[in-house]
Amino acid sequence: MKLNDKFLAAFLVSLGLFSTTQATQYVSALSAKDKSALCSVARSDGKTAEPAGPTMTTVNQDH
Amino acid sequence: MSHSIKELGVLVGYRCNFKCAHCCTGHNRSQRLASDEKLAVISAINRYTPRTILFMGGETTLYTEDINEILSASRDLSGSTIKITTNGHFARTVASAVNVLKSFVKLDCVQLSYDRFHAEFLPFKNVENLYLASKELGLRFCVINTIDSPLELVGLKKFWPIGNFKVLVNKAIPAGEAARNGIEYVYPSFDSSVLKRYCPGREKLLYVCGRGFSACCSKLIFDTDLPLAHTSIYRHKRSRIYRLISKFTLGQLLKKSGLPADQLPPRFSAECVLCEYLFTKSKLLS
Repeated sequence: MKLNDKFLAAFLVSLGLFSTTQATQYVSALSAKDKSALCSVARSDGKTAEPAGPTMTTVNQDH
Repeated sequence: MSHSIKELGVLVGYRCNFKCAHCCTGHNRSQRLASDEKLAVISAINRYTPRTILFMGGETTLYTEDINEILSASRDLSGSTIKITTNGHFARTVASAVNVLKSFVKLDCVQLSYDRFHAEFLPFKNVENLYLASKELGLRFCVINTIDSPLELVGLKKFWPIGNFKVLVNKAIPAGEAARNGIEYVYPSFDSSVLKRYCPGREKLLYVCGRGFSACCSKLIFDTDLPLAHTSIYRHKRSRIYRLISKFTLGQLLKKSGLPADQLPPRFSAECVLCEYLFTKSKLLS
């Protein structure tokens, strides 16, 4: 797996979107264009997002 | 002040001026809290002093009067953070947004639901207006962005020029309208770590308009008639459903249910989807 793919997978895991295995599978199946688009968000250095949670009330974090 | 409940969500009613395809509460219900329901919520706030009280809908600003009635009758809110989740329809200008936010008796945080589904109804300018209004009033502001694919994260970039606020990414749950429209977050494979987790709602409670107090805030409470809600928190915490979800992990519940545990589909990676399977396909609640 390329370093860029690992970076993207780690980004998706950090947002609570996938487990590590799922993220690896997902990123591997992405086109180069989609990887590039996601990378532009992942490399935003603090301007991105945080995981909310799986349900209506768990989106309610102390922000 | 001691907070015996971390968070109490209050679903004040189902009426909404948007018809989002991914809405998990559904469009076909319009009722609002009855008088006895408001009293039950007030009583819970006074007894348990939640650290956070979150009002949700429907669209919460269509229920400002009911929310203020609850807040005004609550004895001491000084230690509680009051939040609303809103679709931001009223933020046509910063001034109109300020007026609506100021109409709440107490408010500390505004959570704006905005994603590709809300974008069909909400002009993007409203996001900035609501952010600026919140800032003017000293309120915390964040956006809740519901997605069914990670590629939708690319859309987060349009928030960056507006200002510095959190965007909380939420995975679409197949409940209510979302279920009817076939919308849900898609997983590439089953994640077995879900079996080691507990229901994420068990440490928070929700008052669901027309139903009662419940730890469930997902498909089971909105789309089924299972006995998941109760007239008081005290009763709910002594109910079979609460005892099950607070004592057992989802994996342990699966084992207790007697349902097949091999080759679980990718969608069961989501706690709420697996939970729906457990409680609708087995006799765990009987």
